[in-house]
Amino acid sequence: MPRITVGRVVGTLVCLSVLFLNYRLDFGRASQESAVDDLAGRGPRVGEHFADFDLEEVGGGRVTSADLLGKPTVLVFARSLDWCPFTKSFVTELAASIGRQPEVNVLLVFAPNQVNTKAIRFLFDRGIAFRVALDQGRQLIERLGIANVTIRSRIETGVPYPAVFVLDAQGIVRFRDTRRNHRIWLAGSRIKEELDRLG
Amino acid sequence: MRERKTYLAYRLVALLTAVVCAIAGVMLLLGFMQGTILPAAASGGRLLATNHWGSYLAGLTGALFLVWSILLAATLRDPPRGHAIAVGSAAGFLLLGFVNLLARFSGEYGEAGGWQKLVTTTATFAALSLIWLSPTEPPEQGS
Repeated sequence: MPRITVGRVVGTLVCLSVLFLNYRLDFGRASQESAVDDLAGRGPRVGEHFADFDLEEVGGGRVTSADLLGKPTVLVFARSLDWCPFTKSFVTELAASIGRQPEVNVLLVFAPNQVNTKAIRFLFDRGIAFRVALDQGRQLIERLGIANVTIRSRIETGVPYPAVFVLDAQGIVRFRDTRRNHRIWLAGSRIKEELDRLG
Repeated sequence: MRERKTYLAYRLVALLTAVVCAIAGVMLLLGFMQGTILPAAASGGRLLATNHWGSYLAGLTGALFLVWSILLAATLRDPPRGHAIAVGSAAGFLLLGFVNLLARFSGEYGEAGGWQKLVTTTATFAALSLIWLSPTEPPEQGS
């Protein structure tokens, strides 16, 4: 076969591979309107009081469960804003859905080794004003039973399973979503819907 | 005497690509100048929301885009002589599509919505066009 034809065939195959990936990439990663509770039985159930906590806040100071009373709260346990594309997609979507609502607390909780300058820049560059807390020693994550024990690489050390708790102004859990599959995240619009229901 | 081909389809693709590259190059250079040399009041709305290092990279990339545009335009006169430029451009478009894939996968550009998918598709089809339409015959002697 002439060299030029081989080149064309190889070039075409590479192009088709890129096109395939371009349309295949969305498979297995998406947001989902319906709630999932893969870790049912762990952590507070709907209608129960959320566990008391005292976490270190990024930017200085501490954030406690008592600080969040008086306003509805979205408590998000996430993997990483440094390297996890799914967490980034989820947080971007959540910020677009909720926007800047001073009457709502949004607290992102990470394992301390997963927060660095790049992760904070991710929020800062996009003007996302969510509060960020570090769970030193993973005490809260362990207490809730959402520590991910099936990590596949060292980079994932300490991450929790993705979990979202919506609390009312009294700190009672009104909605929860826990997932073993981090590739599919809870739609921001669903969280907004739950907040609207709380008034 | 060999019949001289016109390579009309290739010329059209190369011309379109050259024009798009030239526009991208000028925009990036303008973004660089807005971020560095032009006074804020006179330059109007900023084309690139980035810091001084982002402006610098945009300036370098803009210059490369203009060079690419000039090379493609040069092949229009005698396509067989520009075969290597067509192959290089096809490889460039493929790389562009692949980088765009990685960017989309990273989750950093969620605000872009479906645009990144469209850019990858367009770049890949541009590569395919250049692969199949670029002249394969050797240039005539003495031409």
